[in-house]
Amino acid sequence: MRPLILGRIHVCDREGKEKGSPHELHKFTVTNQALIEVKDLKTHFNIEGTWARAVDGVSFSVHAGEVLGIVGESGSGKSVTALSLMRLIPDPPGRIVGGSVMYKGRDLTKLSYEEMYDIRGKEIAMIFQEPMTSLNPVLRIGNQIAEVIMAHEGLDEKSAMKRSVEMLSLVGIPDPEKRVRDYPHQFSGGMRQRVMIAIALACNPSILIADEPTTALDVTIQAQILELMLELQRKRKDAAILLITHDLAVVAEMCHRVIVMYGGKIQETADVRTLFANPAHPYTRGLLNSIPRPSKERKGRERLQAIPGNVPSIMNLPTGCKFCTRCEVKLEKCDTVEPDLVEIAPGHSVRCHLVSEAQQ
Amino acid sequence: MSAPLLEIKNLKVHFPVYGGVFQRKVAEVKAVDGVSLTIHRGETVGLVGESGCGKTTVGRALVNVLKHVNSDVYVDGEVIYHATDGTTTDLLALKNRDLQAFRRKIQMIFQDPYSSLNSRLSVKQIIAEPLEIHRPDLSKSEVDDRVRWLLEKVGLQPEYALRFPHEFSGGQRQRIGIARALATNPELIVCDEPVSALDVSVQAQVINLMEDLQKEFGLSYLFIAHDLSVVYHISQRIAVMYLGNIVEMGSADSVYFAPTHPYSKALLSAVPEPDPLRTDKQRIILEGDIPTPLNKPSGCGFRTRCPIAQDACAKDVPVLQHKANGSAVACPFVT
Repeated sequence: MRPLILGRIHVCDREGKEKGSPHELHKFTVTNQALIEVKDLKTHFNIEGTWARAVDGVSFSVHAGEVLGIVGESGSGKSVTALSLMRLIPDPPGRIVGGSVMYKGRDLTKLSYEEMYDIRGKEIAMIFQEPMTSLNPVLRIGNQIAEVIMAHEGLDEKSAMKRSVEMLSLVGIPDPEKRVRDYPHQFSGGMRQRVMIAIALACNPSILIADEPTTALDVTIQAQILELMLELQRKRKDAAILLITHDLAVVAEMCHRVIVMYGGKIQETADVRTLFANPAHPYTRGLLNSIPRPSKERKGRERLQAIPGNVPSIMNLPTGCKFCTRCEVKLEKCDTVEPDLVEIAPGHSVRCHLVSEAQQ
Repeated sequence: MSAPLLEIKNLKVHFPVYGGVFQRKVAEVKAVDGVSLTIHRGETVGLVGESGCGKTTVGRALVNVLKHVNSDVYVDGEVIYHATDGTTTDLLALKNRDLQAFRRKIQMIFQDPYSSLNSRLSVKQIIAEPLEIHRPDLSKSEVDDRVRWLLEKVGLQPEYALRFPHEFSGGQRQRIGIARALATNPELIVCDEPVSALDVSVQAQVINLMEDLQKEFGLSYLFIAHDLSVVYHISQRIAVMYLGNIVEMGSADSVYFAPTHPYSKALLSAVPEPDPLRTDKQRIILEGDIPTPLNKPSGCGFRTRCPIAQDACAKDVPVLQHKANGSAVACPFVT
């Protein structure tokens, strides 16, 4: 089992691949070296004259070697955060109105469009939720992968196509020499998502942003794709994955650290074990209680504890705590005063008046 | 176990595929290929499987709308309705006119709360539409009263009757869809992925509502979904489908915690656990994708991905073997 070397990714052949539960990941110590540092990011959308604050003051950093999860419901701002990092916010109506995204000493929000071309796909790559619509239907799979390689590494078409074949076999597509000549419609949903991953990893990015990568897929295919992402992540300790999802179970299996977003703000952030064992924010607790947890003893007797009400529209968020309209333990000041994100334990921060008062 | 409500016997649904210059029928997609399933009164049966396995088609065959999509669709088998007085009727054999009386007993809730409500109709019109068809004897004020009552039952304010669907969030729209399904006093509701388009925090509300309504009205549900933990939560029995056939069926506990068919095992093991401390779970990762029902493998449909496949699997389609504990599995090589 001689490892092939493709760019900087070390690949074992398929029999020789290291097997293990995703949780073995937690044994790796995450380095403290921040790959990307987001500070007070604000992305607003102008909708018929009013500004919707889709992302309103989000700060976090992604460290080398970790899988960082962002969870939230629709309208929480999780996808807009990811698109802002990639500078893919359509302007108009959207605009990054404040904050900074520091990557290798450069602020990505200040770069010109031409400079961003060199970042996208090479330094930071992204895979999207819809593998059906994110590939170009009239181009062969091989050309779509080669396009990235030719743009960033200046290879000629022939060697770029050779790399495409290697990338396809890396993501586990059988018969890659033949399949590079196929069109996207000849691939199934799971295979298209593998192709998306192949395109994203073609130039060895340091950060892979995965925006709901498995939401459109079946569970057995989801397991394949998540396993593939972890396998690739294990091979590169200096890279990181930013995983955006609404599925807490996927977070539990994949991530080291988790950010919970609601109403365009970070409500809670902690490492994954603390978050699931010790959720502090009423919203996080509500979310964790509302998912069914199959157990023989409780079957038939247990009612799900739903969070009352609906997710507020970003056009008209409450002035105080964003969750106050649905919170069951809210205080009087929650309606008017927005709580700060307070660190209650090392690495565990919460945005809630109740929690910060209990701390004092 | 309570009395049976609907008995599906050897249901087959084949869709035509057209091709060539003259758009002639060139092939058939065997979406459902011999499914037998009984739904009892007051019971929830979960139907799970990956996309393309035919679970939605089973649901649609029950409300018998497939022939209206295209008259070339081949539907065979029996769907026997058991009335409370003991009489039985084969719904698939009925003419459209005679079917009307049974339609109101089986209603449907759809996956997408955005496209399943007519955006040009007010909530009142949406909920009243089935009443106009099935209960022409009701006066206008009686219909009004019933709409208000239904809205209250699904947890919406009666004043919302005059609003339009775009004014509601996804969860509220799904409540409207449930009110519409309840309007005709159905006995069975076919729920096709009723919560998968909803936000996590809203899913639980809708599931709780469905459970409450079931208790209050003695409804039966055929709950079609791909989210296995939700299906386990709401169902008494679960049937697992693969490529048009049921491969395993049994009580929710036995299918979820002790699956025996190699496909059910792999499917259940693929479900992510919402607990970062659970590390004991053995995951079976299936190779490849579900084959297309256009070109099914001979014999057992699962043999191309099955970890315990043998030569004999290519010969015969395995039949569901019933076991002592009431469960059934379509694989001769497991016990």
